[in-house]
Amino acid sequence: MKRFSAILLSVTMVFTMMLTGCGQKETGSTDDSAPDSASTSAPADEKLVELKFYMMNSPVNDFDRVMKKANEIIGKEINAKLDLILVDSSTYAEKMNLMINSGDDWDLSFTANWGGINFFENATKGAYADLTDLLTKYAPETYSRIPEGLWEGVKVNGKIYGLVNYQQWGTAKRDGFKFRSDLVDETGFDWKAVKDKTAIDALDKIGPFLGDALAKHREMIGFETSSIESLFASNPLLWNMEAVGDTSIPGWINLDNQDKVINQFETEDFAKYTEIMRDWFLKGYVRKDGATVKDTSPDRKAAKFVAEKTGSWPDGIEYPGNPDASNMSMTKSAGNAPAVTVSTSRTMIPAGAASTAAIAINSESKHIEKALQLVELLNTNDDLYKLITLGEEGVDYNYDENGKFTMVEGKYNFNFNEWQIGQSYSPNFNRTNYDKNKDGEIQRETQKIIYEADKTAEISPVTGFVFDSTPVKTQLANCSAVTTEMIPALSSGSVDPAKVLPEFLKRLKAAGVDDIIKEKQTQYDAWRTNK
Amino acid sequence: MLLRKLHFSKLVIHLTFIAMSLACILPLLLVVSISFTDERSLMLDGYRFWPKEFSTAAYQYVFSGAGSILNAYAVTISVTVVGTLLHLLITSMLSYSLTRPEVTHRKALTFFVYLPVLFNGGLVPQYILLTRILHLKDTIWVLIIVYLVSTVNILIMKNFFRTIPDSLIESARIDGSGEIRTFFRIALPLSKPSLATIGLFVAIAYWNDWMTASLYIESQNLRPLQYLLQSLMNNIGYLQSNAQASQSMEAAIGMLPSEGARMATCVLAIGPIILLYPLLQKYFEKGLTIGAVKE
Amino acid sequence: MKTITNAIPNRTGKPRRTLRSMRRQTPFYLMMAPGLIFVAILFYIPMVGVIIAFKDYNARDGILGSPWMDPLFKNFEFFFKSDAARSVTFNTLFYNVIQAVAVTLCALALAILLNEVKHKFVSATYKGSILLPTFLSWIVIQFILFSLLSVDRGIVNSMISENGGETIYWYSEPSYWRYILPIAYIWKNVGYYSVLYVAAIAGINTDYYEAAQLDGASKWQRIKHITLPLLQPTIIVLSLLWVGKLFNGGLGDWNGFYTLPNDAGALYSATDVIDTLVFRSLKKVNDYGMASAIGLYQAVVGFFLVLISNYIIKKKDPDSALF
Repeated sequence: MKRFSAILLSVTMVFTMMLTGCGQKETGSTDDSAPDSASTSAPADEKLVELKFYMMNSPVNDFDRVMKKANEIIGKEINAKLDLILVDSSTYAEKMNLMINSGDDWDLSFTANWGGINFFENATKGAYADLTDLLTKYAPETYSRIPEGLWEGVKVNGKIYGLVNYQQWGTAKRDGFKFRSDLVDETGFDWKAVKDKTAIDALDKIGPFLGDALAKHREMIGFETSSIESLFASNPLLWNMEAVGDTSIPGWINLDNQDKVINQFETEDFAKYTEIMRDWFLKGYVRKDGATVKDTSPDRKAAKFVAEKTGSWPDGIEYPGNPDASNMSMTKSAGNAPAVTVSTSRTMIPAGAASTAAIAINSESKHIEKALQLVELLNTNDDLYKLITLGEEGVDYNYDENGKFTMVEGKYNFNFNEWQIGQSYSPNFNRTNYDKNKDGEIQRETQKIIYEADKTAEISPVTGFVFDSTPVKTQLANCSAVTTEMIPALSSGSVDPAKVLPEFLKRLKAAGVDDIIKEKQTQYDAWRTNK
Repeated sequence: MLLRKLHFSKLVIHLTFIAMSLACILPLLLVVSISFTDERSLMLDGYRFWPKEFSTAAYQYVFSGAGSILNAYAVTISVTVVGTLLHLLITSMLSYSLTRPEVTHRKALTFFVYLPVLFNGGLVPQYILLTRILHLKDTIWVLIIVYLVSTVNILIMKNFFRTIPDSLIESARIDGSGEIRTFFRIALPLSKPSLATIGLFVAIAYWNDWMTASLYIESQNLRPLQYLLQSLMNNIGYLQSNAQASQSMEAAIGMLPSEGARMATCVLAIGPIILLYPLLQKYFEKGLTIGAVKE
Repeated sequence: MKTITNAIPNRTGKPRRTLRSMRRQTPFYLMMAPGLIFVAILFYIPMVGVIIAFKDYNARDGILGSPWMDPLFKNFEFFFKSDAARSVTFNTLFYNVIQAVAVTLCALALAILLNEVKHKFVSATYKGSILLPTFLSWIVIQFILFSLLSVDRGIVNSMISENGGETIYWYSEPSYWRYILPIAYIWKNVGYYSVLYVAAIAGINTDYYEAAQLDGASKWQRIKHITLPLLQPTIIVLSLLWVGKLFNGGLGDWNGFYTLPNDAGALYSATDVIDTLVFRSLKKVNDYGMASAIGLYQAVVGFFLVLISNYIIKKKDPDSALF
């Protein structure tokens, strides 16, 4: 027993020494660095401000080296120190919500309307700072550079709560389909005829093609189905609809009848869609276990799909030769799945586009102005932005003799999370790692087309509307339980819609779906009259 | 006749255990096998107990992506060792005292210890307590403190201490030993098997915990192994879904070993802790015999 | 608590004299202090949070300052109004009872058998092997299960098709999961509990066995009359802990019910327990009040079940009762 206590004692002592040692060293080093960078900064009387910026990221190699370099720039320009804190993506939402709900200390954070990060809820609750007036003063470039309409998408009650991270790949959306071009040739499928068709008509045309292709290639799968994504429930634009509030919650509008909030599952389109999927299921066009498969990437990587839904545009008819549209997804390295792309929907900036990626500032932060200055600096100082997102040229990445961008293995890696800390867009498109050759030029040209389209694209009629779910919380929770259970089955054809669809609608009614629709309609009407 | 019956029953016992052991070992072999299988082969040939196309790409990814993996091992090992020892000390002292008849309020105290098993306030109050009251955020102590006491272990250990004969403790007292000394000199050594058992489980809990780190640790150099591995694994899925957006990247990312890496992280994560069992094995055997203590 | 104070004088044989009893207790309180302080700080302070169940919680006003719900029990409403409430409650109880009984019986049997394996190395190997699943998290177990049961790439289905059988869609048919889930729970936990029982057996005074052997008791008789009765307190404590968690999925460890079936809607009828339903319903809404309301409901039911069971046990065997 003596030995046990001796071990315990010595280990504890070593450990405490290690800790206090580390602690002292740490405080020492911050003390050292503070006056150091302060001396180089312009206004010497002002104290160096440390800003905590939370984002999602996986482990980054050589993080300290690059951040030190970055802070030299930040210290010099705005007399601040960026403390970028990387949180694993699987717990980011939970951690940020905990920090917000317990009043913890933070300055900036990545925010979004997806993945439980709850941009709108947190903005409504007052967790984020109101930036409406400060924005033009402290971050004028950030504000003026991007399409005006996007700022509507981060407003709650007319006030701006998020800094849009506008990306070079644009925000306007157009849904459509991708087909294996080798099979299109083999079967003689007139894929161009799908262009601009309604979703039901498009699916009716695609069905026979799947049958022909599968007859020749038995090992393939016609169309992707999974428990995560439903061609209907996850893609309102494809069906010429738009979600009022969260996409997965009942209550959409038809884009041709924008006054009335409807239960999207009661539409004729949904009924027809489930029938088509049932037909495909029985004919063997889709996976037999589509309702329960979560991860379809193995099928994608093995190049098994004949056709898939795609959101990428410009499509293969309007812009032939666009590299994004010429392969089935996730197959590039397999190199054996050429594709053609056709779009069917209108081009629209969805209501959720702006809040897909944004930065919020803590309303309790002591340095709101400084935080805004930091965002402006990240968005306008290309050297700083490239340093944080790519590392140092010559150390972390290189351009080879053909001008191709290559990363050095084992060195700094930001894991392509640049879209969380700022706008990768700039008018001359020089904030990214485009190859310094012809390929790079083509991409630059494509991005320019997209940017122009963003400025003229139709903006979703729901943009700026925020649904306050408090009055129908109970109904929402119960409807959400019903939809997660039933949608995958109906969307994958694994159940007979003639029997299950009425049952599904009945259960939704019992869960209080009509209350939600009614509440949405009331709030939507009120918002529209005030607009 | 008797001999044959004996042999037969032994055979049944051994066969049972061999079957049980296989049922527990084979799935882990499957994990190891998948971690060494080429990703494309996994897609096309499916899972197998022996890799059809051997590859170490998954391990290469894990090691190249995490420059700090050694540091992470150091953090995890320190936390596990210190946490487990402190846990055992605190738990054994508390549960031993709760078995002593001299402690008049021991039933009430047991109830006090038990109640939190049922009622807890959830994450928000815990987060407020640890960060804003105790100021433990982003310190190594937060990783230790969350598993420092476990009511279940206290109650289980209490039962172990109850099997120590009163006469032993009584005689120590007559010999003039103080209560605390009696505990350390007699009760604890007699409880080695239970200490080793509880210790093993506590160590596993510390070793496998990544949730605490993801909520409370922010410095890269304080991240434990499980957190690092978990995060690397999530990264692959993320990179692959994002490769769509950035065309120039898709080639660079290529066929990242997503399923293989999942299994490789699992192998790297549980490998070392499995070695703990053989280390502790000798303590699982009977504690000191009662006679030895008396002398 | 009356019975307790009465019991002390009987056992020590020295009534009255509180001062002396206090002095005798001091060293024990010193030893208990760290544990009790930790329990008080780590468990009791956050317990304030249970009132969130009755509050419309917001960060600015904090736990105490947030307004009360109107009506007070509104946060509980969603669960009891849900059309699945009854079936998930059934599932929760169904799996918990199976799991508790099966794990206890298997673990006891294995522990007693392990005790019969005299060869040290062999017994250590067995113990080590059956402990392995305890080291695994549910996510890893889900990977393993998926690589066994996957429709097109799983080992089981490839074995079936090699023998000319029909592919089984494990993840589409709820009835299979009534077996798969309990088996997975037993597989993961039985090693843990059998090693625990082995430790308890190791703590039994060998004198008892020697005496019994001298009296000519058979192996079975020794197990029945010595081992089992001496293990009884441990069994009772574990059972009481489980009774308190009877309304919690997986006896408090519900993650397996969420991860193993791949969150497949088609399987919910067989796989959903209270906690998974609540987790799924609130994932979108993200409401702390509703989440803690259900936690409180489970706790209160568990609390009364424990009080009742403890009362019954106390009548039969006062020493084994929890409190």
